[in-house]
Amino acid sequence: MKLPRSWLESYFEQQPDWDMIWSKLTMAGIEIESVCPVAPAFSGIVVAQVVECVRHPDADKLSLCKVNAGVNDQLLQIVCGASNVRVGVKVPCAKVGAVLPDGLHISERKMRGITSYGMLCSGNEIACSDGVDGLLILSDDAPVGVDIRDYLGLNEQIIEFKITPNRGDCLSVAGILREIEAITGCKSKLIPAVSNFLSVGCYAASDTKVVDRMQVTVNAPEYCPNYSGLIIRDVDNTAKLPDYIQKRLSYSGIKNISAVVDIANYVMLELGQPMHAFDVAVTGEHLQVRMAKNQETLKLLDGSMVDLQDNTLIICDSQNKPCAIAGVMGGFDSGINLHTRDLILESAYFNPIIIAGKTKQYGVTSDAAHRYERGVDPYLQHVAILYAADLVARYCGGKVGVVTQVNNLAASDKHLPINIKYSEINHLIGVSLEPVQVNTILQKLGFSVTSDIEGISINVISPSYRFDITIKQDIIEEVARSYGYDSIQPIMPCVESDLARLENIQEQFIELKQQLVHMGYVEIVSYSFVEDKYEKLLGCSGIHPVEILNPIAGFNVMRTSLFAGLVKALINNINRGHKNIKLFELARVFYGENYFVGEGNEQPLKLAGLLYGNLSVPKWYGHGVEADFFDLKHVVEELLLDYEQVSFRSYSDYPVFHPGRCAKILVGDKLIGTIGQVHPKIGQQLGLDKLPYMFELDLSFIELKHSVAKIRPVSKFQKVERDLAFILARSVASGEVIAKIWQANIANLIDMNVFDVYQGDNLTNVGFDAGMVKSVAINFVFQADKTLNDEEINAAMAKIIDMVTTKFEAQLRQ
Amino acid sequence: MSEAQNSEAQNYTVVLGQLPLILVKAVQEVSTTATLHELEQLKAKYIGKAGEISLIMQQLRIVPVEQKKDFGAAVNKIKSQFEQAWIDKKDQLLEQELQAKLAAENIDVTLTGRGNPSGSFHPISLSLQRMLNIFKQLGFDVADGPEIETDYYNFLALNFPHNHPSRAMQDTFYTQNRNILRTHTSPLQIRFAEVNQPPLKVIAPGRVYRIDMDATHSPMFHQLEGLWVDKNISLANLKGVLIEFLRRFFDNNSLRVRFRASFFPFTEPSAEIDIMSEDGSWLEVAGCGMVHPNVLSNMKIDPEIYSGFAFGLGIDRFTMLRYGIDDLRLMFENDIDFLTQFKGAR
Repeated sequence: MKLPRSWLESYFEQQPDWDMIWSKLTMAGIEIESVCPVAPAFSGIVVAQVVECVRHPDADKLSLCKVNAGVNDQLLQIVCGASNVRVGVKVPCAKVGAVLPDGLHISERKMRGITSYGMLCSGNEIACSDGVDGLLILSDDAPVGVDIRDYLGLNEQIIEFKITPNRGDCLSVAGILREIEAITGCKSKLIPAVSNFLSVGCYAASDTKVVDRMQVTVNAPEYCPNYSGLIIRDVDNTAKLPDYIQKRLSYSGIKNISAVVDIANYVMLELGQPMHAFDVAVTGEHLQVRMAKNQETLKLLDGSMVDLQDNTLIICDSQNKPCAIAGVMGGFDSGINLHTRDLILESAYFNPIIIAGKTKQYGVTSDAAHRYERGVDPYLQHVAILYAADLVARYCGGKVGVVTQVNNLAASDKHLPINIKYSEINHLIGVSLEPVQVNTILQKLGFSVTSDIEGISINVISPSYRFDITIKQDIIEEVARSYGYDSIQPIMPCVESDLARLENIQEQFIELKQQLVHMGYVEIVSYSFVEDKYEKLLGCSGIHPVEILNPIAGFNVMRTSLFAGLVKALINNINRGHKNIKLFELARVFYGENYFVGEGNEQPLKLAGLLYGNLSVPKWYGHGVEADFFDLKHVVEELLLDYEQVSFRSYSDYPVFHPGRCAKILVGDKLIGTIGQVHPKIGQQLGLDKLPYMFELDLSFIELKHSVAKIRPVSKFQKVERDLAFILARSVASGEVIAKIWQANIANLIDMNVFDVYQGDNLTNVGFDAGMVKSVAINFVFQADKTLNDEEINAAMAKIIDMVTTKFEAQLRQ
Repeated sequence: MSEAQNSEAQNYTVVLGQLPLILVKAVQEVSTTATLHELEQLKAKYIGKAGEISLIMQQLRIVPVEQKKDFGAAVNKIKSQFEQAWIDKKDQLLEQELQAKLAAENIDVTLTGRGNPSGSFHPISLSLQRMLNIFKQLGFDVADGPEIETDYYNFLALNFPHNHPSRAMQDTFYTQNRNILRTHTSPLQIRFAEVNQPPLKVIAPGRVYRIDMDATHSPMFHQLEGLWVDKNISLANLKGVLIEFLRRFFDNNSLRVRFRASFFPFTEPSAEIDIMSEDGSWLEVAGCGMVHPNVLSNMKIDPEIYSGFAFGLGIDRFTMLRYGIDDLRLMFENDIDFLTQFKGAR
């Protein structure tokens, strides 16, 4: 909510220290979001009248003026270049010593040989452009010599309040003044409406005694506990409202529309009571308040046609046809226009429950609904309608009828007392306030407070305009914010407490990330939603991604794989000139919308990495080496070091990856991820010249690690190494050979390493079809708790050779 | 004594007399030698088997018995003087050779080390690690949960009634099945409380989503939720813990922190936390408050027995403040030139 400061100022006899007020309000929960001057700083510019004006003797386009700027009746000689300067006009005049908004200092200055003692200003030059070239022509009654800032109200500041949803009572000048008084003690005058019309209605400019009444039938009293309406006839809706009203509205961000609508808005802003005006010629004199029926439609003031729903309270005309959504927006046809003569003013209290959600439901914005859904004082309607009618009568003429009021305010609309112990207040805040302090604070805030006899607890009743006080904690908050959060001394809690668990899952994630960082990978954070075109290319096949109903920037599905984020980051960085890229991300993917701990969770956490270009960049010590599958595989192996039975199995039908360069990653029998090179087809569609390698791991694998590492004793006896090469069919995976040898439990075998894989012509030379076979050379390491002799080693090797040659149809390479 | 013997005997005295001259010559030659090889040759020349000094020593056999001792001593003295000169020279030459070798082996130590450089953590991870470290010291558990949430956990259980204006504070993404992308990490309060008994002391970091995109808003950002429920937890405790946290995080013992009244449906009383920036203006960094009794009830915790505080802070915001980043979008563009600036950062 925005308000010009002068509106508030007008209710203070003595101007308070506004900076202090803004800071105290902000601390107490009424946040001042901004304080904006309506004009930039400038000084020394006054209202002046041109008394003489002749052409400059030496310049066609310049005028030589004598100007009355109120300086001891002396006329200033000023040279002016504007075309609209003439005798008699009143214009802004920057005197010698003035400083313009752009910082220019005005001094005596010779112009074509004649000294100019100042400058006449255009609207632009004083930062209040009127869209006209030339001098800003002021009204004839502008007082000469008065500072232009005062005359044009340029010292005005627009205060923007950020009112939280619980404080609908502060959405008005009256509400802010009330809060200022409660929080700072600065008393303001009562708003005239409140003082003049609290008991009797008297219309300043209306002397008619006609008893003219509208009629209203309220069919849903629980939703409309209070309805006030009156007829005003022979209104001139084209009348001009006083300048101050129009300015206050426009500074508050409300457009000027027509006299009566502006008055309704003005009363809403000043008192907090939304108002509406109906054209009697359209609605007739009898209105009804009822729930809408499902087939009814209504064209709203903003021009939109809506299908009403039966959860909506509406106002109907004399024919029982809808003419407004109660408290939200009036109908287009029943609204008043510049020609309207007779109108009904409405000032109602609608229950917040029936207004809440309606702007969203009907896709409209409404200042009235904004207030109603937060709660309008149910005792404000009568005063507000009298005030509005008075303003209409005063400025638009017309004969004001008598207020028709249907008041169904029930006991349930009254605020019930809340009983609270002083000790509860002190406990929750962590202070020791005296009962009298508590009582004073609450009374200042308009609460009625009754102590029990022992002085242990109080009954508190909140004022009618507060809709946010229903439980003890609400009272405690009032005490705390009024006492001042800053006055509460911070205290570290002193409670019995367990230490935190050492291995929480977040820390394990950090450890995994740390490993990747050490291996040269850069962590990225990419959006969880992606464009569906990326999801189609890089998502998890066979899963229909979760769609977002209201996406932003084209990110319309939740990703099922982290690959899209990595690849998008890759492409961005390639476009920025990077050639060798290592990335990773740890985040959730979404197979569905369900979540639970354990198997089948549809929102699992994943860790994925990408490797592109060279493994290392050319340096003084060597050239870059192009990365391949095994460089990335090493990364995964390192990440899984702590796990037993990690294996990689060829995976030829994973659509994202090259069918011959892709593997499933398993821990035991559990599939925990995939690794591979991006499929050339996908690479082509993404415009990638080189195909990156990527892996993705399901982080649930962390749960697989339960046991602490078991350490075997270290033998002091010599290790014995033997090398062997087998000729194997190319289709045989070396990993399977290794696995089988381990399974055979060869005595004293403690390690095996494939140290050479060869495919090529040399195999033809020794009698094999080189296209079909490969040579795999393995280094075997034996060790025991004694010195192993040749016989033992040879026996073990014979067993290995026998097993491999029979199981894999292998031959020993000689 | 024969004549021959006589002449030999005379000869040895002559030889003895030559010794000082030989020494002078030998030392001279040693001193002018430039290489170890030449030096070795000099050793042979003078004290080798046929060396000049050795030959003189061989005269010992013809020296009369009574003079053998003096003769031997005289020759040995000369020999050892030579040897000393020789060893000194050898040490000198070895030292020269070593110096030359060392000089030749000189490397440019300013060249970069060999090996592939480290990668880097995303700055949000760095901030999160700091936060986890601080709260770990206070014994906080860490919780995690879904990002596609139900209306119940994201709103209803947190005391946001249907259609309540407070829901408009958080512009929400909806999924096809009318679930929502969580707008805050606060649902984790409820989820954690459902499976744990008070006292509860937990933080929960994670991604959250709101419809907003400009220099200071991202449709996805990160929050850290905190919850401490126990008997006798007060607003003063909330201030105590969070001021301490902020000062540790920003590594500034005199950081100015203020709590000002605000509104969140799930806390009562509620507060916003501001810290003072270097230019003296207040920056909003977190929302917090005492857990609303309705929320405690939804957690199946009796609000008459327990109280607690909760807070939620924007990890991205903290990261921007800590590292002086002024555009939130940088955090999600994943530009390597941006990210690698955090190499080795803390």
